[in-house]
Amino acid sequence: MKVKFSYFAQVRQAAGAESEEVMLADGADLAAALAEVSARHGPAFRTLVLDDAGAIRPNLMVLVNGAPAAKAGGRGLADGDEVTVLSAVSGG
Amino acid sequence: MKVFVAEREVEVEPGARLCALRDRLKPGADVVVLNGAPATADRPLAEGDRLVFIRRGEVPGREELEALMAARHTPGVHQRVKRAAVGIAGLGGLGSAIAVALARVGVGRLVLADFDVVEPSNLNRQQFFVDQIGRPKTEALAENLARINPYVRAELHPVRLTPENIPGIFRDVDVLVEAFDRADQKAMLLESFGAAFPDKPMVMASGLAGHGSGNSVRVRRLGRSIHVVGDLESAAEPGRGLMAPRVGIAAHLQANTVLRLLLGEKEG
Repeated sequence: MKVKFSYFAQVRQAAGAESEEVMLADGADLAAALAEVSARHGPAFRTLVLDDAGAIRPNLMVLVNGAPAAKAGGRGLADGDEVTVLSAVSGG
Repeated sequence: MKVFVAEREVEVEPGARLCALRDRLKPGADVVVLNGAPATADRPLAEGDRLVFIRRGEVPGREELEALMAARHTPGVHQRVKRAAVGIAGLGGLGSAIAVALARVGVGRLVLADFDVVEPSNLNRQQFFVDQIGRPKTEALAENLARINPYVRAELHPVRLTPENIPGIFRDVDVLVEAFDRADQKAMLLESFGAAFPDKPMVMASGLAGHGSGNSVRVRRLGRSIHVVGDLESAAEPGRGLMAPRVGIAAHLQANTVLRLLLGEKEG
């Protein structure tokens, strides 16, 4: 299946692209999808989105098709989905 | 024809003039606000004009106060935001300033949540006072808001927000504002509120520390209903603190985004 990823801020810098389309295994969940994308972009990208255990980092904000997505236990992605990824930074 | 004086309908003759009406209803008034802006010269009135006459220094009665407070708003804004409910998650530098701005503009109900108390290091940027140190932020802010606008209803939740209690606390807000300090809490709120109310708008902030250019703090719309204010990069960290000017820029951009959403306008 083909999924479009859009990146912002540090994640965009690490990816070297604002967006890209990625072929993924059917039914891949968000963590698997980000692991796959991390493999393409290297350790700087992976460090931003996944922890050492491969879980999605707590400060990562992810939208699927424009709506906030569950980072664990959510539904698998589907062909044509659009995933938006950015890291929240502290301060308030 | 009809005009409105301090939000009350008044019948005037066609061709009636501003100063004559002032002299009839409030002789000696030295400030005249017409349709949201000060009027400095006499002029003929038009159907539907909204006017307020003020004697400088005179403390109005309670009934008149709300109309006088709204006099400088664009006509029509106050009536619409008065019906609205806005949730604010976190009452620090962002949340306390957003609450003050929304109270001044007359949002009818604010749902305020923060588990913490006011402490001295908050006072460099947060809308509290020295004599409020040690008090729960919810209680202290509600007191300050009441002094600004007694017509705002503040619903207080002095609790730590979690994925479990977020949907209940903010179930009936029109817009939710994320105003946390910690990055993981920002993402948690997005996920928790978004799961419960995927189409309700959220206004978030990320990247506002330090004293970098204010021009880099801006509003971005992500997806259908998520707005993020900030430069997305300037984290609070050793060597880059949180200071009133830039935090205030972000807070007021968040408040303005809330206002625009309540008025049905698109942002970002």
